[in-house]
Amino acid sequence: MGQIERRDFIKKAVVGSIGTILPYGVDNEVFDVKLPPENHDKTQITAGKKKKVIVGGAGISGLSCAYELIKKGHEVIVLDASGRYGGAVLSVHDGLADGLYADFGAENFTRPGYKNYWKYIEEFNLPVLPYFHRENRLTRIDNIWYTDEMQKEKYEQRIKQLGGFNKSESRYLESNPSSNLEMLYLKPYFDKFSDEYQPFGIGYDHLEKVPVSEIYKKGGASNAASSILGGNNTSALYAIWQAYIRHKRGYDDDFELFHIKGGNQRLTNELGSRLGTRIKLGCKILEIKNGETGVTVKYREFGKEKEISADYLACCLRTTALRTIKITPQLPDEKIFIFDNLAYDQTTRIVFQARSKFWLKDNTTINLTFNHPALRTIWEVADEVDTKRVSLMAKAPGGTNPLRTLEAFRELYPGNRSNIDIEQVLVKDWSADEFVNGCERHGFGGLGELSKFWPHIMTPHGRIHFGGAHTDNRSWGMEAATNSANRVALEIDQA
Amino acid sequence: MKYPSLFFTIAVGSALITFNLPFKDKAKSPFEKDLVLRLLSIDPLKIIGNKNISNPSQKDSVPQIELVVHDDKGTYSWGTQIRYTIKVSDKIDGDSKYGEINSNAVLLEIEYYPVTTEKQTRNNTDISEEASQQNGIILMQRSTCFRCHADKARLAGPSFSEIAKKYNKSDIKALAQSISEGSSGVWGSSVMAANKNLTDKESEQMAAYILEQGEKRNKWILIGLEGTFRIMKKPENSAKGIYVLTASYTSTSQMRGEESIILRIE
Repeated sequence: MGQIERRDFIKKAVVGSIGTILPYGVDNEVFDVKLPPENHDKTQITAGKKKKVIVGGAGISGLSCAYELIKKGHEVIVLDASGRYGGAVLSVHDGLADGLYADFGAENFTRPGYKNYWKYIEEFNLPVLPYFHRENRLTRIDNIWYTDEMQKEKYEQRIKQLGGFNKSESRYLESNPSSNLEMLYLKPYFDKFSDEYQPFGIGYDHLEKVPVSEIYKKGGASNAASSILGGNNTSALYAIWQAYIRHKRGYDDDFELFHIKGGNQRLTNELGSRLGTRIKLGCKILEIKNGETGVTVKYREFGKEKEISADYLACCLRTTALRTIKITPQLPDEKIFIFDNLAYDQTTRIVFQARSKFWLKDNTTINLTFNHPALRTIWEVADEVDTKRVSLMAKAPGGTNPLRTLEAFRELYPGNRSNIDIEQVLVKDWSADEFVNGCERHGFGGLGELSKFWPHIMTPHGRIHFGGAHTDNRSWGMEAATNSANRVALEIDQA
Repeated sequence: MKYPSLFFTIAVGSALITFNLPFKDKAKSPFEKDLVLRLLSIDPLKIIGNKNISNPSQKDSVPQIELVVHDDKGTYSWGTQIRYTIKVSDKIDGDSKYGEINSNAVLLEIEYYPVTTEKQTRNNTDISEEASQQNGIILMQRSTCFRCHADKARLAGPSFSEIAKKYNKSDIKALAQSISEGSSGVWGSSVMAANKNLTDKESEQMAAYILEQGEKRNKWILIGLEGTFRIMKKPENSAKGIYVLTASYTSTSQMRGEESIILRIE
């Protein structure tokens, strides 16, 4: 597989140069930061007053928000508690031989979709590669390995046992994948949406507490379709809203997966290099005073507490971090509820380095889904690297011992286990990460749940604007992060 | 069995509250004298103790704990957010100032008591029962539990409160099995890793602790060296109350140091 032709989708970015010196007062010291001369789009310079903005968190959301703000001519300082920037975007090279690498964190992006993310890919001229880890899979169910075709047959048998699809469903499935069947019943509700960030107030509020299974039933779903689609515990409003967003972004039918050649961290590195020493690492935010005319942030740097003031705070911190920060005056109850109740997926990523594509000797695939407590899935990464060695990425629940993952792999591998030539094991357990505790946020699709989270999760309060992947309307990490960053930058620019 | 106990009676507003701090020896050791002196001289009141001390010579090997409540006012309003830091120093493990303390082994227990005009007495605690509960929490602190679970707040997995709402004591063995073998599909799509290193007894102690702590509405636990918590909104039946904050650290030598602070709420 080769690098795809970027000409196909890269639009030439309009670039200019600014090269301004910005003074910024921090803890009685003033340091000067030189804006890099490249990559500043003059057309985006703010029409309003230049603002001083503190950005909380240097994950991909905080970085892209800060970058958008400097492009609009604002003064920015980014505080991050950890000693590196990039947050959950983390590519590993150390410990892997021959130039192999893997993404411990955010691993892929789609097309269509990820509009704001692709904007940076294009602007920074980053090479992208297609990512095929969900193709030619084997899935272990009840100790039997199923190919995708076998699973399809099993699915069809089940449909038959359930009485089969009705005429309209069969007609729909002639030109749509079976995974998209719900759209047949949800699409008729899309017309009322005008803003993908506003599911309420368009005539569907009452559907928040109605199970989406009722929508299927009302639409005339067959017994087979109802059984396959389920939805007894999912809010109809949430399901319709999420389906609408997928449809609007064009990835409801089909999409392609990509990753950045050399690791997705290249993008956050590019953002970080453009922000320079505006990013202050090792600075943990402790308190935020949300004043009438500005914000004051207390943070700790090497044991010393310091304060910094600005016009606004672009808060791109996870709720797990926000829980530990004292914010005065107290935020409204609905925001505090989110801090206390938003959940994140917890994953351990295990990278194996093997001496060869050993699975080829067994005429099998390495895109394997084990469904084992210590090993969910495994696939090959960085296969474009010119070496006989390979790097394999495995996923397991947070807190998994990687050697147990290796043991599970050896025990259950659908070939001759003596062919396995794994020589290195690397691990990143996100549940143990002090600063990035967890992966993508969970949804809020339970009956009556949506209004507890939305839109409060993204609502600004006083001088604090809330970004971060968890504040967007869908949970796909880097898409949500860059969407929220662009939203917050715009909110502050226009405030 | 019950150990001899040391009682403290504290005036909080117009009320008297009696605390019972159990010690293995009732002897008036220098440590105990020091304890009483501290008790009487510090405002807000601080109580320092260590439940594992059997003789004064062991005092030196007890981790030293300092619980700092920032913007300390002594009296706080209902609903206030409090920021705290726990400083730990241990002769073997090191000092939290230098990042040498495992934050997972640091615990803040917060307990609310309403203050009325009547004398209130904290129940005598059966030390064997308490020791059993303590085993549960210490085992959890040594494991990976707190990466995905918290007492009242939601992380990847359900909170102790949510678990206690769904299960009761008759489910301890089943919960213990989930802890040991891992679990999925019970709480949404979350998957819990297996904990094969635990004995049946250990996982049962953990399950018992989760259920017991989870059903407590006026007691909260937080893990780590620093953080915030919110004092509850004013209850209908009480104008004043107190929060007892107890910070503790269990060292790698199995010594437990504690410090408690009382916050007056009005």
